[in-house]
Amino acid sequence: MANRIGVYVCHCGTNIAGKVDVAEVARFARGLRGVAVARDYKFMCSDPGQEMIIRDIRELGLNRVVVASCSPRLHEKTFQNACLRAGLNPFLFQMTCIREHCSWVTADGLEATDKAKHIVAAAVARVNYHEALYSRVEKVHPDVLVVGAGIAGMQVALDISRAGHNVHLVERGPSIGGHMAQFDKTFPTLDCAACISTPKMVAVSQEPRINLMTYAEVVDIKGFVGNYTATVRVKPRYVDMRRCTGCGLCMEKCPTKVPSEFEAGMGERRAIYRNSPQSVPNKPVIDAAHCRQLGGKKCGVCAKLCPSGAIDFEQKEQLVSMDVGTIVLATGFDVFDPTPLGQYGFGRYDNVLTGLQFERLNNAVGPTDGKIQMKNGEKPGSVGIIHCVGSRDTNHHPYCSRVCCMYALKYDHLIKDKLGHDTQVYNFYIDMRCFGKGYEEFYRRVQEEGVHFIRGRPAEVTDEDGHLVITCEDTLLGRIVRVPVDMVILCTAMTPRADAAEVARTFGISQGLDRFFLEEHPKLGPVSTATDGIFLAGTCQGPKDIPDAVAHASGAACQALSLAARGEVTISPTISHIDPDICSGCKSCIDLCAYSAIEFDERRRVAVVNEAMCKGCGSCAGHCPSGAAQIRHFSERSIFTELSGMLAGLPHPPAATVAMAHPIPAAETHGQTAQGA
Amino acid sequence: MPSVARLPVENGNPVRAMQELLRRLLAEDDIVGVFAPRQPPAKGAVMPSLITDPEALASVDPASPSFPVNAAQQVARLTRGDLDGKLIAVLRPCELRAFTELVKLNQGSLQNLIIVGADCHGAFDNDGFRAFMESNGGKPGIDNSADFLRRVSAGEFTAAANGGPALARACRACEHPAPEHADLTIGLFGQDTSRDVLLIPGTAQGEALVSRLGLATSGSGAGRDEALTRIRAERTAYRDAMFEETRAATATPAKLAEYLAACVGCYNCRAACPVCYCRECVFLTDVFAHEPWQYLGWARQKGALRMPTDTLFFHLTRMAHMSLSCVGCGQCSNACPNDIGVMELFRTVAARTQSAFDYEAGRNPDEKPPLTVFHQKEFAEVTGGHD
Repeated sequence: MANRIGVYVCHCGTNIAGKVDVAEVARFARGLRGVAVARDYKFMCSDPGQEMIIRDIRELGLNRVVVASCSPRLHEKTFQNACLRAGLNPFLFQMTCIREHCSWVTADGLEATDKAKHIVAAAVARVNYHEALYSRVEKVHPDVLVVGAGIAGMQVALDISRAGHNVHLVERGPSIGGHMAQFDKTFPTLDCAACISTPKMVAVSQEPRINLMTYAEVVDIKGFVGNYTATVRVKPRYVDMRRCTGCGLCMEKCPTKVPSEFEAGMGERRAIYRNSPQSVPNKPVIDAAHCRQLGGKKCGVCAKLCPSGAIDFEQKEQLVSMDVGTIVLATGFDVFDPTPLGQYGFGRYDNVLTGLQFERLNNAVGPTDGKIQMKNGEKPGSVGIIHCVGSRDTNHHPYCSRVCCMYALKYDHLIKDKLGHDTQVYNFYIDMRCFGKGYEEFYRRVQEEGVHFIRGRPAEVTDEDGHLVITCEDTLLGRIVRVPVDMVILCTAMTPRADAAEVARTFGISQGLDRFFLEEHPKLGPVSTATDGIFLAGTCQGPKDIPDAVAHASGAACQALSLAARGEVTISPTISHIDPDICSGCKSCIDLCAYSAIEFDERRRVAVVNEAMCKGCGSCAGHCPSGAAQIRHFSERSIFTELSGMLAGLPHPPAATVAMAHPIPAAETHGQTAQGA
Repeated sequence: MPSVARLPVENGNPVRAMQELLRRLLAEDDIVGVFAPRQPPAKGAVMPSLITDPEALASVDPASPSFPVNAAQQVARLTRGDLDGKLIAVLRPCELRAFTELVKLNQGSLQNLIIVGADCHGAFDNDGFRAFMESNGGKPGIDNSADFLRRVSAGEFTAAANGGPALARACRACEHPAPEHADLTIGLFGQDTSRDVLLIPGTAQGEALVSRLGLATSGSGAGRDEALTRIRAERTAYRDAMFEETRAATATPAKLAEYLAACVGCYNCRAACPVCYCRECVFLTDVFAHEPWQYLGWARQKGALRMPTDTLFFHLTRMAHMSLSCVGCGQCSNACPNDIGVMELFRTVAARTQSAFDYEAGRNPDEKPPLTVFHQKEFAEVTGGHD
């Protein structure tokens, strides 16, 4: 029995109707095989438009529906739901695009109308082979895994735990707090970073619903949305966390001193160390790479001094596995290493610092107890601040790091504040980007404090008789300026973590061109990823300041919670199926599957799709020579029929014909071209 | 260079020496059978056979110039699962290469298999073989094969100039006349096969067998390398001329349609192809079960529709599916009832697709088929260097 197909051609106001003769397309559709009704309407997605479809399904007994309008990305769900409301399986509907694919990209109205007819004919042909499909519902494990315990990760963990869900918070470093714990003041309000972040760190450590795992890394993720199993490697701390009281005696006598990562190279730490007395957890860790005892030499001083016997050189790495429903990645950023920009003298001149080094210099608990001083201990009489080092630079990172203008202004103020108004501060900037709440006001305040702003990217920093000289074209004055200063601060870019690619692979997510983790949609899905149930928080997705990172984190927490709280997730039925009667068991699809969703049944010697893990990408179906693997809703038959419909000739030949590179004489093609390639 | 043994030939017939070798191998405890081409009781072409009775080896003929089927699929069938011991398989070089492709596609296994290859002078297609048998005076069985070896070594059968039979075009264009990665190779090239033939171990398993059989090994196979180089050069030249000719004949869609015009859609080429491994060809599934109204629609577009349809589509699809695994054995052309140059077309396309991936079908069992592996960077000329 022939199908009863309804075709609905949308005007989209003038978006489509301004170019395409929609009434003519509907008239054409009425002549297509199986079409029972074809209408055009101003806005199909409006309530009256949807009602028209629903009424026709009920009154005319339609069993297939085609809507020709905008991209399915916009309204496929809208019309599927309309079909569902009328009692028609939503997968017996086909949406086809005559706006982005046709009216918007075709100059000539007649050509656009002809193209729309081809597109509609293809959809009508294909919908004949649609099958009714039913979505599947899977349970969602209520626990959430959060990776990284900087300000974003902590915010996610706190938000989720406060909603009553358990969180596993995994941090690679020995303590939590991330980069924010290294800062002194925060812009634009100048409140102390420690004062606002330590309470969060303590709250994380005290929250019973948060299982905090420091000095630990996620090494493997298996499963699918709602049902992930994570394997976490807990590195040996060599300090028994239950016995240690955090008194700090062990660190005083350790004979090994190495540059401190936390101090960004501005100070030293011992082989047994903690980042600061405010660290959470505040118990030290032994750095096995530098510890004399663990290196095979005689030492063990810390063990002798420890009053509670907490030092344990026998600790081994542990693998812990946990079931979670959703995952939030908050793995943060790295600071750009300015060494490749040799012209700025970083690493050659003592008083050329990165922004993070200056943060430590300025920090009340930093290596100088907060005194801004040069390497020789004297206070600088003038400071040059170079913006956009590694950012907005096609040789390094084309993007703007979004925070440098503001932290430079913060340094401007702090230098004036701490060293006195006679200290000269010069900013070398490309554009001042002060777009956040209170940022422009802060910029104005700093300008009023007598700070100099020179518009231009400096050419070089040289050492002339013990003075640093910054050479720059002042692009507002149109001349070269040479500014002697005592200290140079490089506002270094925020970059993706060095191991971002490995982390992306572990979690099965993508990276953008800038190598930050890729969100699902730049505007409408900034915290979700293409992998269901895995979300992004903070700077792992792109440069952010603290308020943006916290807001992003709360967004990710909300997304993870909405799955965890609902407790179940609907899984699309448009996934692969491998027909065991046709499969030859060549295993090619197993290697091709990006989601590890295909297993091999050794007994039957056939490949089997794990429906929970399959995303319906079609890699298997595209390769499978026998067509054993096919994607439901995108069967080979429906695709070939769609092609056939697309290529079928129109009753009236188009006014303008497109020249073919190799014209095929009709008599010699034996009718193959009509059936696709 | 592994040491080489010599198998003495009695009564001037090297096939007997090969049979004797197989008899001695079958007598080994761990060897459960011999898979080899065997003469039928009546006159005719050899067929691959699984042999467990040593008596039956008397009609085994690895040197026969008949080649009615590529045995790769049958070896795959015998090695797909457990075998209670080791199987000796005697294969032509192109059969071994096709089998290697099938192993990569999980259709067969090298485990439990000892591969004996023989230098291949080529074979006739089915018609050519009948003509050869007539020209050779209708002798019975393996004597024909000894005559063939003698005559082909003397340069006969490379062209049908005198109206006599010529070797199949696939064989004349085959640049792989010697077995690759066989455990044991029977060396015929450059040898006086009425006196003795070479036995060359190619793997550790092969070497162990030679020493277990207590065969004396001498230094080298004198003359074989030179003969092999000469044969390869001749065949490569023939192949390249064939590529040129085929490219010219199929350069446009219209010419390609004309090239395939006699195709009746019997799918014999697909059935004969050793590397076409699907249990059910997609062209037999309902993907191509068109509705009557579809045929009518296609007819209306041009006023007439050639039937059966999908001819070009079928061949293009098979090229897309199988040209990377094509070993050029020529069975497709041998099986075609309407003399379409299927082998020529497939080899010409395969040369391009395989070189695009720096791949050679059958070269190495450890190489993965190119379309089943993902490389972050490849085809920079297409991607513009982007990942």
